[in-house]
Amino acid sequence: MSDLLKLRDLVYEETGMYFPDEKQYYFESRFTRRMGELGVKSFIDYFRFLKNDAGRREEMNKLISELTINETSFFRNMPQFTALQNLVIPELMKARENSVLKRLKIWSAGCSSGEEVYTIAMILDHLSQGPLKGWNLEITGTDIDSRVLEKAQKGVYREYAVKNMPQEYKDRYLEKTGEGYKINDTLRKYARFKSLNLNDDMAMVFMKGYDVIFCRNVLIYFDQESKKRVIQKFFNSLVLGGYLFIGFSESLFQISDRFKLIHFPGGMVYQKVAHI
Amino acid sequence: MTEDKQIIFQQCIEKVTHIPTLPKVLDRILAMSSDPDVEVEDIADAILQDKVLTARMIRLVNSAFWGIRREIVSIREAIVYLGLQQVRNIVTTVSLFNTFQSRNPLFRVATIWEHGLGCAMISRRIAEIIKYPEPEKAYLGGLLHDIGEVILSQFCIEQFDQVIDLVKDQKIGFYDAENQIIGISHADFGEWFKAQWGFSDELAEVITYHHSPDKAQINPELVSIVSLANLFCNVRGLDHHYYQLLKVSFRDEPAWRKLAEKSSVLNKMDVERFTLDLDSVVDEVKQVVKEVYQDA
Repeated sequence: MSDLLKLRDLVYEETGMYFPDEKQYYFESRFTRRMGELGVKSFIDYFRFLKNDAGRREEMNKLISELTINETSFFRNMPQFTALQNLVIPELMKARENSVLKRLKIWSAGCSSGEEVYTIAMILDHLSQGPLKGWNLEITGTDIDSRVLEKAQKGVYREYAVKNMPQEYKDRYLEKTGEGYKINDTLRKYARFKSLNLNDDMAMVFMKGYDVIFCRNVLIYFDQESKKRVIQKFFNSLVLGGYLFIGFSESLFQISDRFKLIHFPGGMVYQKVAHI
Repeated sequence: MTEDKQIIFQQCIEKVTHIPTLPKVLDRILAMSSDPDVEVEDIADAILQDKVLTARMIRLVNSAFWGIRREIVSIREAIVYLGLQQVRNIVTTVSLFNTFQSRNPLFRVATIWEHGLGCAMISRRIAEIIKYPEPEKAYLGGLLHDIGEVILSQFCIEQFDQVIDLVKDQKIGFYDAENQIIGISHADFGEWFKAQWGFSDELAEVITYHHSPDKAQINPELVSIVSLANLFCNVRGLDHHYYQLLKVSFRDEPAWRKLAEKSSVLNKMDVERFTLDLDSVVDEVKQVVKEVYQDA
């Protein structure tokens, strides 16, 4: 195997973030940029550095930032939201057919500036005109960084963030202001934001009874052990039959085997199908 | 097949105005490659008779699928590098691509081959992972499993257009929609192709049971491999993109269970990574089919 692919695989083992061969131009350029910064000449030297050097942990974090530099946006990775709307929510509703409790609770863990929270809010609001009429719907966005939460609270976004948003949704949920696109009150009523450290076991205990958890491209910043712990907390936070979405290229392989892996067109989701 | 189905089937088949014959070159190559004493030169000569076939084969051989690190410039080289079995499959692939002309503007034959080639590649990968002794047979099964769809979509056009509407509208699969609208499905063509083109019993069974692999009798393993590969195609966009309500738990699939009984490797497999890796197959398949059809 080439040194470049060895590096790619090391990143996968340590972060769970996987880049298929055809994305080579992408990961190669990001590795090269970090190597330039460090003054490392070859892929194999960089591989050794990431494996053995005293500063490997810090460097891995920098590399992750380099690999995930992402301007997040609404409806980022559309297939996951299509699946939420077409498969996940209908199934959760069906499971609650005979229950008086018509409630759906969704958690966006590591919500950053709130794009994911409001995307989900749009889907829920859309469904609340039809099948979810009369349901109690809430989305909790949490992040460790209180500055991004302020931004989420404020709900004002630039052109870039709304690029994938269907026009119909733009018209219905956004107001154009001098600062940019502002989320209107229709959406705001679904969303709550709070500061939370996923590594704080005490605080995590209070996150209970969620039907769906989104935690996309967040766990890549954790080492294997903390990852296992956080995923176990998510498992505990979900209701039976609840779903966990992680990043498009992330995987729970060798992190948890408690969930059932489900494929849908264009993506995968994990479902809690038993209590233990 | 039940009596009712038999009647509908006959009505469908009558619409096939001229039944395409198996391409001559393919016929010859298939005969030659089952001869243990055949010479590389003889096979190469037979292929070289057909210029278009030769050019397309060279193109396909040099795509990323076959993992050859150097450029292959001649058929002879291809045979030496890939072996007779694989070359036979490549001849089959390329010559079948050209056998049927698109007669239905709403459903082009190229889409069927895109799905077929994708399924062939994925079947071969699964076969290799579980150490199934004949990965090339798996390839062939994947390539041909939906060939009945060609007949339905290109010869029973009126009914098939209703099938397409139902599939789009209800977001269901073609297999179910065909059974609902026409009363038979593309899976009912296994025996017919066996009679028509001399497909083996195993291959006919793949066509018949790829949607119900637990009914397979002759070679359940082969049917299961193709059945799983077909589902992987569906969830990775190598189909017609209307099947949005599809939800698959691979480990719960009867085909998966069947294969896991025989090969413990399967349950240890990193399914997520396997899935993500398929995206490169998808891109490659689309490219190859596009190129082949460009000069058609």
